[in-house]
Amino acid sequence: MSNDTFSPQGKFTPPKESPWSLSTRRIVTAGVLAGLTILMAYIPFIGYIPLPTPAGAATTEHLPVIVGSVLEGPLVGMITGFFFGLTSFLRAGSPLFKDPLIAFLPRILIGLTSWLAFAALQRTNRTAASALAGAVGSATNTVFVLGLGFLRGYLTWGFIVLIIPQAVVEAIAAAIVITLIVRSYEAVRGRLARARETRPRDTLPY
Amino acid sequence: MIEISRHISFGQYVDNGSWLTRLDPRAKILCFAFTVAAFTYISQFAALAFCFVFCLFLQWLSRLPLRYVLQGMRMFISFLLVLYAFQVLFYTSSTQANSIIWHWGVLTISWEGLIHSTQVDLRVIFLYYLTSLLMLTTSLVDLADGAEALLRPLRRLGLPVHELVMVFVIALKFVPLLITEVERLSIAQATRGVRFGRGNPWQRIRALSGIIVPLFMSGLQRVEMLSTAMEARCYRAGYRGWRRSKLHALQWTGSDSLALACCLLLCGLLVALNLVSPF
Repeated sequence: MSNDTFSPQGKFTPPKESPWSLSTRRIVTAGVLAGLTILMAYIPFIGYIPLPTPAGAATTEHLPVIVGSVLEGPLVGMITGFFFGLTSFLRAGSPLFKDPLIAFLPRILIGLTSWLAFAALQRTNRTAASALAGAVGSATNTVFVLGLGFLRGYLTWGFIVLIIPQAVVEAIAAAIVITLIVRSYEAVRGRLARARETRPRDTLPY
Repeated sequence: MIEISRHISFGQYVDNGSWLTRLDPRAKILCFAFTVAAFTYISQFAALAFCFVFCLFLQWLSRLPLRYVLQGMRMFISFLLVLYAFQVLFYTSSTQANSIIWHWGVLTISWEGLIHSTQVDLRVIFLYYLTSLLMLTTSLVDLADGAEALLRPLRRLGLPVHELVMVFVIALKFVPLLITEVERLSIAQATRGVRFGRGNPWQRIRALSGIIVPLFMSGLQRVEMLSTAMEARCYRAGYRGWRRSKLHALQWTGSDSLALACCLLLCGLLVALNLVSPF
């Protein structure tokens, strides 16, 4: 059983596990979030938010990765990030994402950086922490994809400058949506009633 | 948009007892990997024609109705056609100046662009066909067992192979469920009069989060249920000393070796054909 603790007021308190271990719950979470990533990659309708920017849209595909690392720690985020990389690698129309280094590395790093951002602020304010995690995760994606693309000669400076407003909008959108998801999930989870195991199983009255 | 699931037959296993269905999943995965590698390598029309014959042969072996397989690919092919137009129009290379047919501003149609894009897209179609055939002839459980058996050596490097395969299986199993969920949510939001893709950025984000947030919620609630159900059945991944036994152990037979040998031979032929053919 996962050792989550729930205070009587129904307030969510995060489980006390090592962030680098893989429990059943974490495996299942990574699986479902990876499923969402695949879904978002193949249904364009929810895969992007249409916006008046040069590229025309802000992607939402990195959201499952950030949600995974905020809720369940860096390993879940990194596994989901791997799936994000895989879908963009398999679907790639441009040579940029046909380069496995560019398709995978930035996306796996999203899991790590957004978890670090969340863990840094977690104790102070969970809403601010999740907003920061969203913004940092989105920025990691943009910065590393563009940076690696530039280093490996797929992109030029002109193109990168053109992308900057888009990146800012994407980071803000990610911050908002991640906060909504994480906080509402914590509200839902805090409401779940669960018997607390204070004694060994065989001495319990039920 | 609303009835997405009707157009996607990806990942639906059909157990019709054909030779391909009965093959050991390990053999199937290995053959799939070799064929994909060979198909990705080739670049000549003669070799692509050979690929086509190869796919026809596989189709005959699988005994699946051709219409059913093609129906699953319909959406993908229409998407690819749009992409093809863009590929041709925006094709750039240093040598295309010799073969330009039509030119206007940044848009160019050249023989070289046409040939190059046709080759790329044909290859993508064949690869998509191979993947959907693998999914149609192998159940997910078999696929996971096969992958786990093949990747077992990586355990020595400390990689959690079983866990990663589990993640993969859950992801693929959840895609159809989540698609149904998206359909339900978009109908529900449309009933409430939400219009997607209109208004200023803030309104657009709000409209979309009306789908994305409940989608994540329902997904995460399923996580709660599934992980409790798995632990109630004594699933303890990542726990030292825990081993899982199998109801159906995999068995390698003569026909699996035959399939693998044939596949290797065909891939070798394909690569050789690609090297010698002039066009």
